This record gives sequence, structure tokens and C-alpha cells, in this order.
Amino acid sequence: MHAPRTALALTVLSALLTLSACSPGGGGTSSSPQSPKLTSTTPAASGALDEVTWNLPLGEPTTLDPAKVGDYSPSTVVSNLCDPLLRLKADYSVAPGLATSWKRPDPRTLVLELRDDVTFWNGHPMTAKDVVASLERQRDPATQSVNTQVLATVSTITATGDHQVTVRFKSPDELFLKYLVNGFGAVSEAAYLKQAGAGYGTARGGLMCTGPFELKSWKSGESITAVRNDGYWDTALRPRAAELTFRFITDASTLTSALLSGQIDGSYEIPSTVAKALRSADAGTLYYGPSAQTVFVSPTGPASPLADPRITRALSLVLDRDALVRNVFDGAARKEKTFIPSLVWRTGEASDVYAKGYDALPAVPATDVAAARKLVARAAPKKRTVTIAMGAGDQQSLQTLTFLQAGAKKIGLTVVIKQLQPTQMSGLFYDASLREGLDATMALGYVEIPDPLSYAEMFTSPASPMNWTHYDNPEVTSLLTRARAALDPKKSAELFTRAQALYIEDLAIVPIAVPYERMFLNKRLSGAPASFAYINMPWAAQLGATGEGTS
Amino acid sequence: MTGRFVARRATMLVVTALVASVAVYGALFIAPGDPATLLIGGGKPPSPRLLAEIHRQYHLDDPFLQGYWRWLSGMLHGDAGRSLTYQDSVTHLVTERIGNTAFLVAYAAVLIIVPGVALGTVAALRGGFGDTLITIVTTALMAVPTFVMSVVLIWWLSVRWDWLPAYGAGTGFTGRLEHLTLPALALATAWVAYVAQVTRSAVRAELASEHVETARARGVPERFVVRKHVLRNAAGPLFSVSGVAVAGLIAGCSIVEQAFGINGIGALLVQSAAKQDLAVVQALALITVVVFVVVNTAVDVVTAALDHRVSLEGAA
Repeated sequence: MHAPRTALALTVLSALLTLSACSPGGGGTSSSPQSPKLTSTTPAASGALDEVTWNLPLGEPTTLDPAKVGDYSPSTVVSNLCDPLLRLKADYSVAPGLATSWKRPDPRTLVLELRDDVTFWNGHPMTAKDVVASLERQRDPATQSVNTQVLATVSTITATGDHQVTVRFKSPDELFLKYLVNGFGAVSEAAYLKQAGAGYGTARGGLMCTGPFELKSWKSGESITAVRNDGYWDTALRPRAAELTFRFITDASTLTSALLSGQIDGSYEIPSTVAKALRSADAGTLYYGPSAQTVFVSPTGPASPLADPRITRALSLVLDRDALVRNVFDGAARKEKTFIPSLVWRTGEASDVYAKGYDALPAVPATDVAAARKLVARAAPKKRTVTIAMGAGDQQSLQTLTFLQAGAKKIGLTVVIKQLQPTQMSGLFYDASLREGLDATMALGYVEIPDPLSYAEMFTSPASPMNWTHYDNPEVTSLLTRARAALDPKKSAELFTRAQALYIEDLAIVPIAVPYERMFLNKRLSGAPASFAYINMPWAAQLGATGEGTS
Repeated sequence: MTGRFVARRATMLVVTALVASVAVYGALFIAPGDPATLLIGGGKPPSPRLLAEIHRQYHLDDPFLQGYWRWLSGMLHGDAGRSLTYQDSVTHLVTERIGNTAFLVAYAAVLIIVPGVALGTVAALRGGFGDTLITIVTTALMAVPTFVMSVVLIWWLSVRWDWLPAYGAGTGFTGRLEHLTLPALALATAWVAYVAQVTRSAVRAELASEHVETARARGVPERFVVRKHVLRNAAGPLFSVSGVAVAGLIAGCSIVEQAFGINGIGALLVQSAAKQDLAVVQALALITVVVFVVVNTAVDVVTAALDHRVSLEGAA
């Protein structure tokens, strides 16, 4: 799924703070890691902990209702509170969760077998009734679920036993099962859902789930506190931390100080601008993990000069990605051939098919100004100025676009960077009038489920609300539709890679980089996954003490 | 006379508040962007139905006058509306946070007034090297922006020496005192210099005035001259400038609360403005206007009481 990262609602002020905060403790450019070591997990923890204070650098969640969750902050919290039917692992593979197994007696039927030893925080046992209620409520517009489109292919969801749920489909859909790893597949108690109504997941309405931590309190603006669920069904994941408190520091400089002084124990999504200061810190360790995040530039409408794939390819040719990764991402990113990070398919059953398809794609181009100039001449755009939107104050985007600007200048294109306020930036995705006057937008997103299909469909399907350039390649659409209906992973992967080979030629998108996950952990703690998969894993259940004191 | 003055000030307050509320409401109304889009996960393909549902629930499509009237009549009934992003009543949001901000402002006010007046008086009375030193140091401090001061203080006293916490507001009196010392210092620094400078000139002016010369010529002891003639007459401008400083702190709070991660109304204002959370911004803007006018009125009344040369009629 695509998550435009607009929550960094910082002003120029925070940029200044960041710069001044980094200079005293940060290392020089000489210590910049050329390619930092990637790790999916951190060393296993040994001891118990009284409390852990964790930061959400993208700010306070607006809701914790799993049906409405689809962004960094709320997902980081909810993944520890509400168990989904399937579980994402640190390597981005899928494992059983509240469902122990699943089978497809026919292409239009999916039978999920549920665990029979799971209780909600209030002690009530979890049954098929709760699963049906949790999934079905997301169909109701009043729920305001962000997952309604997942249910588009589903005809009925019924309890076919105390611990068995059967889903029937209008047409076969291989994505449905994979969506069960996130908020869509999270199970809440049916009775509690009914009683809480629209308030479910808010500071007042609370939650009733089965996860390793139980929501205790939510003081708006201040903190969210969860306590250990001592009766957690997964004995291997019984938390070592008695209490888990989330804070919402969005200011990069404040976050750095709080982490360095040990007041905050850790954080995912450490901004690249403060990574330098934290890398050499005595207070803890900055870990780099594999990630399903991606950075790209995409045109905002059919009239944009960038809607011509020759122009996007030309921009790709003049973008010095090595320098970009080194300077903007502090070495913690990788150039990839497409805008879909390879982590999302690398561990599945059909990984070799996907890998073969990826290998066959044209290589990431080395800078070639002459070739780029020829492409621009052939495209002959009437407009030579390209206005690109980004979220105001987001340093990483600003620096990336400055690189692109420098490259574009060499081929006679003027890139104008336009910083938009958070509501304008998020509005771009819903309101076409806000895209007027813009030619492209900087996108920082992530693919939530271990499958590239949904992400590809979003930009290529003529029916997709994200397809702003009205891209329409019937062959691509047909291949992707068939890939979704193919329940054999290898078949699906094969159809996808064929579509990918086609759209990579004519889809106007400039892939920029795949940034690594950056997590900072105080030296008194260990055990949390460093992989981006944390977003849908009960990551805090693995946190424990190392035996070392705070700084 | 005082009654009429207060009545006129109260009328002014109401008019100012109304004008400010129309301006704030209008500014956010015409700003591009749709606050409802921020509520929809951010991560999923857009669903127009979901957006329409939020618009309906929060009356986001109302015309300007209708929306403003809904807000105004709500306010007259003591209902400040609901926050779009917090899905909570604005009254609840503000009352939860205002304690932190009030503590911070009061703390910073003490840190400004006590050393500011003391330094300014010493500089004026002593003269010579001390005067030059105080003038140079305070002028330099006045030039340091608040956010730079915040960063320096955090880095130096919190991260390096681990003396005071780097973020948060703390709980209870001692907790707050501990957590809010650095923010209050950052907030106070620029104003200390201002108060010290004004004190210095006021005391200087009094020292050179006729009544002081006369007192000295009469052989009144210097200690007495300073206390009875100089400081007493300088108190008016001192109080007046301190009032301005405290009112200025209210505006400066946003920066400091953001930098120190304090859950106060300043930080709430910045976040809500970015998210176009109308009801919250509107309520906070009104509170700021009211506090500003009330502080200024109080300063005028006290200044007039201290110095009979200033009339309340003229001050209004």
C-alpha cells in the first residue's frame, strides 16, 4: 500500500534546529558509512524491563481502530495491541497468527482455522464470531475503514465452526490472504465493538484485542500507554517489558536530545538528518534494517511534461543516484530498478520467479547527459518548467529534489520545488483541483503487504484513483488482473513480472531510491526487529533488557 | 474614572476578539487543502465516500458565514466545538494543556523580571565597567533567537551534562519545575536583556532628573535618594515594559513548546494550524487575544496607580 509521508509537518524552524543540533556531536563526512550493515533483528534480550518509552516521529495517531489504521504512527502502536489473523515476520514472510492454517477447497473459497486458546484482554475467549464481526464491519461506510477495497471481491464471510471462518469470493483473489497481516486482519471482540460504536479506537472508546500489550491510557498530545498482557497466548512472545509508553516528538532536534539523554529508549523512522549524530552515540545503537519503503517522483496529471515517459527517463539518466544515496540518505539507501522495493517479494514462495523478472529489467542507468538530452529533444515538451510538490519542511525530500533539480538543469529543464502544507499534500490524493499548477509530486511510501501486485495496480489500472496520468495499457491491466486471480504463487508471480516488464517501459515514474529502515535503541534494551516489517509485527514484545544501564 | 476605563477596555476586548475570530476563521477557510484528508490513514488509495462522510460529520462544506455563525453561537453557549484531528472537545483539549503553558509563562516571567530589573538597576547606578559589561552581555543575548537558545541549552545542560531533562513538561510542581527550567530559560533570555535595558535607561533618566538633583543638593543620603526618588519613579516604565515582555512570552511559547516537546497550548496551536483544525485554532487565537488585552489593561492600571503623571483617560 502506498503511504504518502506527509505527516512531517515541520517548518523551516525545525530544519535550522536540526542543523545546529547535529553539528556538535555529528561525525564528519569521513565517517559516513558507504553501505551500512543491514540487520533484520537485534541481539536477543536477556532480562525483564519495568518500562519502555518509545517515540513516534511522525506524530500522534488520530485513531487506533485497526480498521482505520494505515500509516506509520498508528501501525507502530496497533501492531503490539491487536493481533491479526496472519503475522508478518521480520524477513517479510507470512506466518500463522490467530489463524493456525488456511486452505482453499475451491478457487472461490478460503477456509481459515483459528486458534482455540486465545482470550481477549478481558478474559473472554476469541471465537469465529469475533473474526467475522471484525472483518464485516469494514464493509460498513459508517466504520470509515480504509480497507473497503480489500472486501470488493468478497461475497460472504461466515463462521463455519466455533474456530473456523469461511470466506467466499465473487472472483478468486490472491491478495486477500496477504492483507490479513495488517489492520485489516486484526481481530477485535465483537461485543466490545458493538458497545463502543464509532468511538472504537479513540482515547475514550478504547480497544479490545488479544495482543501482547493491552491499551491502558491515551493522554492526547502527551502519550499512549500500554501494559503487558500476562496471559498472552503466544508464550514465545510474552513481553519482558511491563509497561510501554509512546511519545510523539516530531521535531528532529528534540528527538535527538531525548534519545541521546536516554529519556526516550528508541524510535523507528529516524530522520536521515539526525542519523549522523546518533550513529556515533554512546547512549545506544543506530540499526539499519531492510525496508519496504520507496522514494519516487510521479507526475500529477496527463498535461505534465513528466507524463511523457521520455522525460521521466531523461531525468532518471541525469540523476546521480550514488551521490544522492551518499549525501541525502547518509549511505542508508539502495538504488533499485523499479519503484517497488524488492523486500516485498524476496521471501515468498515465488521469490525466484520475481527475482528472475527483476533481473531481466533494464539496469539502473548510469548518468548519461547526452542520451538524456536526446530524449528531451525527441519528447519536445512545450513546457520546460517542471513544478514538483513536497511536504513542507521534510529535509530528505528537499535535498532529493535539489539533486534532481541540478540534474534537470543539464538537459534544459527547470525544476521548481513547491513545499506544501500537510493538508494540501494529503489533499493531492483526493482532490484534482489541488494538483493544478503542479507537474509532479515527491512520493515517500511503503508497501505494507508482502506482494508487489497491489502497488503496481495502483499506478497502472485505469480505474485506480492514483492513476493521475490516465495511464492505460490494456495488456498490463489484463496481466495484473489475471495475476490477482491466480492462486498459485508462481503463476501469479510470473504474470506480474510480465506486466512489470511492460509498464517499466512506458509508465512515467522516476524511481529514486529504497531507503533502509533506521532504528535507534538505547543500550539498556535489545531484541526489537530492525526490519521495516515492524510496522505489522508485535515488535515491542521482543524488547528486553541487556543488563547495561542507561547513559 | 477607573470604572469607565474598564468598561471601555472591555468593549475593545470584545471587538478585538470578534475581528480576530473572523480573520482567523477566514484565513483558514480560504487556505488550500482539506483537513479531512489527513484523517484517512494517509496510506490507502483514496476513498471519496469516506471523505464525504467526514465532511458531513464535521460540517466541512458549510459556506463561510454559516460555518462562522455555527461556531459563534456555539461559543456563546460555552461550546468551543470539536477538534477534527483529536475527535475530542476543544474545551477538553485546552484545559488539559493550559496548565503547562501557564506554568511555563509564569516561570519565564519571574526569570525575566527579577534579574532584568536587578541588572538594569545595577548597570545604571554603578556605571563604568559593570555597566559596559552588562550592556554588552544583555545586548548579545537579545540577538539570540529563542529556538537557537533552546538548542544550545538542551545540548549543553541536558545532553552533555545531563542536569535537566531535554523534553516534556513533567507532572506535579517539582516535576514541572525540573522539566520547565530549560524552556523557561530559553523563553526568558531575549526578554531579560530587553527589561534590563529599559530599566537602565529609566533609572538613568531619573538619576538625571531635577527632583533627584534637588534631593541630593539638600543632603538626603544616597541610599534614600535611590529608593525613594529614583526607583519609585522608575517603577512605572519598569512595570509597563515587564507587562509587554510577559504578553510577548505568550506568543513565544509555540516555539519553545515545539522545541522541548511540551504538551502545551503553544505546541497545540502550531500543530492545529498546520492541520487546519479550525475549532482548535480559533479557540486558541481567542484565548491569546483575551490574555494579551487583559495583561495590557492590568499594566496600564498599575502604571497609572504608580505614576500619577499618567492618566487612564489618555491611556485608553
